[in-house]
Amino acid sequence: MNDRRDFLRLATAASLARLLADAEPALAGERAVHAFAAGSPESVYAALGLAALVESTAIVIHAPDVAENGAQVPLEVTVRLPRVQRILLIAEGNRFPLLADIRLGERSKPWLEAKVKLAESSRIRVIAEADGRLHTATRDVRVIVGGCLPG
Amino acid sequence: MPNDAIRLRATVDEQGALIKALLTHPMESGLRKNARGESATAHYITDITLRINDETVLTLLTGSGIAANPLFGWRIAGVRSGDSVTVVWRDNLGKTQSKTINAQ
Repeated sequence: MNDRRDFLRLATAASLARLLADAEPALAGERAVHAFAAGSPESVYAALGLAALVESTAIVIHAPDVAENGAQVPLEVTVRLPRVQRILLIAEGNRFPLLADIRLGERSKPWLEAKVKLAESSRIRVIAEADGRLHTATRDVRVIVGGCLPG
Repeated sequence: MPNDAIRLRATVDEQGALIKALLTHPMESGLRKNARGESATAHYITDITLRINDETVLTLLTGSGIAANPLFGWRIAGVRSGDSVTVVWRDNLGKTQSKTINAQ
């Protein structure tokens, strides 16, 4: 009996979760928890199922060459491609490299500004998905004081 | 938390709108240790949604690598003066906050 009650409770919780998920906007996508917990760029790609990244000059990353404070590094990303649906920001040297997974609706221009943390001097990688293809570019930033120090 | 913890601005130009959002949040990764070697509890925004007149135009899934008190800039096409612009965030502890303004 207990098993059955547990099963019903679980089933109810599951359908409730599904209802809540349905209420989410279509753009939200699934949060790939594993990707945000991944400890290397390669494991981020694996967690998100990203393959066949093509280096592209169509992605322009503005960031300081030298960042005094790794806790607040300004980034500006412009993607000169049509139909960009997704932009990923990755800090290759961070303990958790995936910074953001951004889903763009049709009205969103493929441009954004964000402030990010860099634990150490590191390569920033941007991946843009356009027409189902994955484009990527990188930029190196030297950090004077890391963004993940004790404090 | 007071409602002005999100600062939001939407400036309409010929291409649409430039939207800037400044959120108030510690974005604590849980990796930092204090002098006694105790870890801070992880506390960071996990998703942010931008809506124009109730249409979701942008969703950001974020990790703890976004800077404390996150600042974002976005550009959205077809926004007119007076359109409503809403930003909503949710964090890993289930807190949520939103702000709505009219594009200028």
